[in-house]
Amino acid sequence: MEIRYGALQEPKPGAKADQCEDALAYSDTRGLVAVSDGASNAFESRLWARLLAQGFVADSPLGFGDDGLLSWTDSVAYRWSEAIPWQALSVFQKAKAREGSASTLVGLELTTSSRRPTAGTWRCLALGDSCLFQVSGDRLAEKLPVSRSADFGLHTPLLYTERDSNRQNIPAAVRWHGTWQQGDCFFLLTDAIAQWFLREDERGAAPWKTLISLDEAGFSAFVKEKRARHQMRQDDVTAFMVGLGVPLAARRTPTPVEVQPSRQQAIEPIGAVEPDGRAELTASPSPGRQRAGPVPVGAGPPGATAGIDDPYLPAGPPQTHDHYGAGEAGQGTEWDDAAPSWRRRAAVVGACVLILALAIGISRLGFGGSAPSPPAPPVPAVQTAAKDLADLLTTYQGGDAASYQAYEAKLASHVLHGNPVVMTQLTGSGSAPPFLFTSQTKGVTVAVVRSTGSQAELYLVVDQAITIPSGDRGATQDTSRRLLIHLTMARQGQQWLVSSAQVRPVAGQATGALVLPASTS
Amino acid sequence: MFLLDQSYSMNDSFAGDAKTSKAKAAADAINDLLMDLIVRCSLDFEGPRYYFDVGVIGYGSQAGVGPCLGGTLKGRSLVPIGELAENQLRVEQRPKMVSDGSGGLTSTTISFPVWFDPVAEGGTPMQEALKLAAAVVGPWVAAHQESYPPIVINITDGEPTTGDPTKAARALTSLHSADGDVLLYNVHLSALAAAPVSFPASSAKLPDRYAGLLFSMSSEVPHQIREELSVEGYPAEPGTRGFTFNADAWALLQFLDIGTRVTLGA
Repeated sequence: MEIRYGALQEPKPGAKADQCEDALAYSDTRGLVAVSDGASNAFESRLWARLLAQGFVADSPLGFGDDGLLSWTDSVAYRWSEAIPWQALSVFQKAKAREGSASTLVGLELTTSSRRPTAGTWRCLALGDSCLFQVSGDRLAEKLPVSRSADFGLHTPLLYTERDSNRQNIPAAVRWHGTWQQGDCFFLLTDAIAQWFLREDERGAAPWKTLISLDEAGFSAFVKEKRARHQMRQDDVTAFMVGLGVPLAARRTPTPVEVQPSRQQAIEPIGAVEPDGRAELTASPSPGRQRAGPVPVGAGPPGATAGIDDPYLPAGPPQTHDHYGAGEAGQGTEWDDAAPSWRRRAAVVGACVLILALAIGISRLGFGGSAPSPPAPPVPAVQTAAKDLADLLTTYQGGDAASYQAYEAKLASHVLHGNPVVMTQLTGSGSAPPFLFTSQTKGVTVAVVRSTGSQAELYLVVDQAITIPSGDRGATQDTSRRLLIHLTMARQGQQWLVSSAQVRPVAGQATGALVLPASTS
Repeated sequence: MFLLDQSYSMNDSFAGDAKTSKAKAAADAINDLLMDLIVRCSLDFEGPRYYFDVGVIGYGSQAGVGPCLGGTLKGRSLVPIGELAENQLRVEQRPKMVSDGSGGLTSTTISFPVWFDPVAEGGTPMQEALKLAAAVVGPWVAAHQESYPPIVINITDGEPTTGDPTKAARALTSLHSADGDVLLYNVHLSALAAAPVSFPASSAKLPDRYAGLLFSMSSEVPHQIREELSVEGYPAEPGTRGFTFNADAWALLQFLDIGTRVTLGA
């Protein structure tokens, strides 16, 4: 049985192909396909959509619960933030970039067994109004997550670069699974064409027949005609199809999207950002990369090293695509807002979290995957850097605005490019001086989850003694708390700098990610 | 396009707040909205996308009625948003309240580009300003029939000194692109310490005749803006108009923000 992949794309009217904010990625060796639609009013949503689609294929979040998906999205958001040249942005760009970015995501995994390659199972994840349709026996068998053409609206849940927004949106994620057989076809469509598809189906037509019959030129003409007749909204349009024994007219991927490589950070990325900055849409018909015709789901093309030869995965040396510890092993529960019972069990939970984090760290470092070993990881240097940061971060002796600014400047020198998103994570949103509290670090424990020569991921558990005002007569109150800090760090020269951070009070304080207590003035 | 009242009476304090003149409140609001517009168009590593042309007409100053962008943009009635981004009078550092991430507000410092300084010195030739707006907007809509219709925002303390501006307002709002009529919003900054009113559907609760006059000149907001309004918690009844009376600085910015939320594509 032949499995065909076909991609069709048409940018919104007046936009060039490289301005299209839809992205797609797939791996025929892994049977993974993803489409995402970047929000037009968000900063660099093209990049965000691309990283999400690429991330889905390189390191699929299928099987994760909401907490795992939250952590997975964090790790992609980290790549987005890393790719933003914060220091080079104008006042306006910086203001917009601080608002973050947003995108839909729909991803599909197809599996089969070697015994019966003409049938198998699928599962999918969808958030937002990009849709997955399964056509089986010449009828529309599955429609996810939107099932009626009338249900497309202005407001759809999205995946954001901001954790707080994701916390609100991720519960809307739709996960589903089913079976497929020879003759089925899957369609991953962004909203404008998904709405057209459903409307056609509702009136008894068979829109899938149209899509599988169109090649790139035909698709462009088709979309323009539908737009002119007001049968399709003026938006970027992407259709990705998987034909299971079904021939598709669309064989090639659309025009390459270029992301300006010169503006990428000169930091070696973990995972799926390509070193040359080229996007996953690159059709790249170079000899070594041409698809060798039909490929059984999950079996890999003849002669190809699984995953590596895939144009939708990073070029260059093999890279491990480890799941981040929190997403995989812990299902992210340690990041949850603490339930009341946690308050009583804070110490136990804190210890468990640390043991877990350490265990992940040990297993990652000691028994890393089969990929060639990276250069010897300079763990002690990372640990020292992280400890220094933790000391600075959580030791504050109060004072006036000037002393706070000095404190902030010192902190910024530990953060890659002074990245304001990371600074915000570390300090809250720049709490108002003067601070009337003091805090003292009593102990810091560092667990390195993984570390390469240039990047590292770690957990810190920090115990703090804090003094906060009590009542309005200058009285103070001594208390203590424990913070769990998840960091990624990147090396610049001899220095290790923080590139992303998440801070959670383990003992269940009501406030969110503040290391410093909110302004008590 | 903004029409900015620069008459002497704009020197009076705003909504009973002795520290802020109406002229200062208006200049701040315009500066803030221009910033906001450019930020909205700044979607990638390139400069702002060319989604808007922006013009500001002042009326009442010694200079009379005319374009009042300053510096290198002096004398221009309409400027592409990208040029606006590159030409300010200066950039100030100002305190701003932002969310602290845990439900409260906290103060931080932000860069505040300034295109306008407050001016308050002459009469209030509102109808002349509306006529000039029509003279600028007319050729623009003729050349941009496929565009969203222009939004004209008149910021004034509402006491015209050169006769009833109603007719000039009608002439302005009868101009149209294929997408709809020119929208005229009125922002009434009063010295009265009266309760603010934003996006009303009737003039029943307005305290004086100037407010009533400006309400009657204001366009009904398009359907899409009404949807946005209801999301933001306004009643947004049919007949809701682009008018605000005595909005405080925050409400004024919100008024301008919602009123100019043009769909830039999905």
